[in-house]
Amino acid sequence: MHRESGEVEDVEIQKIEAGVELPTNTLLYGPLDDLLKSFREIGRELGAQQEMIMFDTFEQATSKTGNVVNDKGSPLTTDLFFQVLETIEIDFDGNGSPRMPTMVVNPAMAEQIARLQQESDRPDVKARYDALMRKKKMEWRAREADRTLVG
Amino acid sequence: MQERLIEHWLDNINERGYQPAFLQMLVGEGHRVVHSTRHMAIEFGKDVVSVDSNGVPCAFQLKGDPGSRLTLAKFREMRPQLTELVEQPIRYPGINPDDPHHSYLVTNGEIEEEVQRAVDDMNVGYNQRGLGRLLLIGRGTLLKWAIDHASTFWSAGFSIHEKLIRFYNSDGVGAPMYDALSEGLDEILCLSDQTASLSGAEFGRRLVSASIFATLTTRNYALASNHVAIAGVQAVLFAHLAASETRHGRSNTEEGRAAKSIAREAFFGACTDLADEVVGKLEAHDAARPDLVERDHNVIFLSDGAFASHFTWRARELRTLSLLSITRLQGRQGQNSWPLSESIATRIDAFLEERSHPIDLWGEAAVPQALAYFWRCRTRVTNRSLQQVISFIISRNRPEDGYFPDPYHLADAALRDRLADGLGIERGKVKEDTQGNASYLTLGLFHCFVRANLKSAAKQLWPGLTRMSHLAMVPTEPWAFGLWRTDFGENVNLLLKPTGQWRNIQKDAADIETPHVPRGLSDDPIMLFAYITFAPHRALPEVLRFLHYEVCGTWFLPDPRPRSVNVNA
Repeated sequence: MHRESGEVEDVEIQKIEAGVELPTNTLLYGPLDDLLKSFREIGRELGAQQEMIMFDTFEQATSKTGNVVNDKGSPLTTDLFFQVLETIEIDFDGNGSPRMPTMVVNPAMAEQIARLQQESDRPDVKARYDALMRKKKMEWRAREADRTLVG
Repeated sequence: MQERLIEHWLDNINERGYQPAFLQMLVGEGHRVVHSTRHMAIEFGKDVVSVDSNGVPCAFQLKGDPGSRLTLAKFREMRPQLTELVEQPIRYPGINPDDPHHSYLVTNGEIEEEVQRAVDDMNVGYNQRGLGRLLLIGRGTLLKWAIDHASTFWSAGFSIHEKLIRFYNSDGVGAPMYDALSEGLDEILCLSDQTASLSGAEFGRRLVSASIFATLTTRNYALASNHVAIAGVQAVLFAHLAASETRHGRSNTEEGRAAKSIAREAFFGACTDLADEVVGKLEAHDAARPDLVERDHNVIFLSDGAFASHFTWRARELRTLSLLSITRLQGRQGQNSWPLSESIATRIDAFLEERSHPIDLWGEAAVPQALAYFWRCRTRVTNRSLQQVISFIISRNRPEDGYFPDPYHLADAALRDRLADGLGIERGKVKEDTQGNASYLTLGLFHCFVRANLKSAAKQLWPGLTRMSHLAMVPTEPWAFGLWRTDFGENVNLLLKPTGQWRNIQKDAADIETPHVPRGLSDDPIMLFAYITFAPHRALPEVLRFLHYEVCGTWFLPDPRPRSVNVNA
């Protein structure tokens, strides 16, 4: 990977594997459903390993750049949520609407986010969000303006 | 098993189909093939001219009698040509026309005894007049040669046989299974096998064996007159032969030159057959619709009913244009290099010039084909076309959900992906397999465009380029470039700095070295071009820059236009 900064990063291809054990009788004469179930297990296991690799890669990348917000296990608050958004680069589409990133969270965190969403209509939260988006848009415009050939 | 497979091929192929393999067999028998006139008017009855291992010139006339016999009646019909074959001296540079030559009538059918008797009688007369004898090569000899020279290096396992059976079972109308072809060639030529070390003699014999294997795979395509497929197989074979030279450290050997030359001839033979077919269709079209001011181009390419072909004829058209353009480019190389007769060439030139409808870029894999068409002539239009292609690829990679089928997906898959919703057919996995916001070819194309020094247009393209990932599979060994797929390579993902320095980009654009391409391929830019139209995933930026320099030639850079090119291992 040759990054915009000129930094070159080697990414190793990683092996994932999964297997299930089936009695010979099931394999040869068993119901098709049992066979399909074993395929699904393999698929799930491979998917889980892929997911682990993906999150490990994210973690390594963010740790390296310092782009980490650590809440040390405390409950998610509006402040913390805005702090997270602050660290993320956000692009805008042709209509000027932000292309919001996808957040991947565990189920407990999802509940907390759902609770925070109920507060999103609060005028002070809304105003803070709008201000943040204005700032993000300015940053995006600056980034886009940099996309040029000079000299 | 292998004898049966070769026999099956020999008994189902016409003379055009077996000619490339026959030439390779001759090389295996110690001949130096000096001329092969398959697609020109036969020169005094001589399809092939060679010099045998004793230095005696030999002339061959090839006939196809697949699964049948050469009867006395057929023999009598061809007697005028045979008289020319024997009586007219060989006039070719390097051969003294006063030297007596051996004459051979070659057929893949059985030869009836009466024919042998007639030949004996003719030879008595020739002998009395001091002429060389007429000799017969029939099915038995061809079969023995093919078995001797082809199958020696086919592994004891089933892998080559299994591949041939798959080719024999194909319908012959689609694209060849390039992956299977490449795997077979890789095995015979010992490319990926890191333990292999070949002596000079074995190297030469393996080239012959691999070439015959490739020709055997074209049996059904030859029967279906699928000229594009035959051209594709020969272009891929050429790349493997060049890769083999690099892999085994045997560049510029006589064996290598001979094998590549035969593959090259077979490639242009197929292109010439395609040109003949196009001209035939043009004539039929013009005769049927003399009232039309402009030709209805889709009629030329519709093969199975207007509706069924409606969605695909433009992909077929582009494929055809690319091969005709490469043939045209070959014609620019100088004397004796133009594969088409003058009348066909004139018709093809006019055909290439007259079309005005847009090119259908169905995926990145189509781009090298389009380049062949654009670069066949050096005009201002060439630069504008390049700009349009880059702009189109950028536009297809919209930041939200954009993707453009990558060069690993050929026309069948890309068109299926495009038409799935409209036709209610299964979509396939192009979208899943293609990385969005990414391109394999755009950076190389941009460097070619920069050479035109159209800075303001380049500035317009630049922001789009910086938003994309520029991907490439860079071989770690040059020989791996010739393989359809290889483990000897690194996937590179390049993100451009948002602010680009024009001078630095001009320097990048001035680079014409091809360190990742086998020398035997970069020494023949036309065949390299042909290869990447069939293997578009090998259209690395360095390859596009090199071909643009060699073929198109636009160069308005501060750096002087290089004189010597391509210093690689």
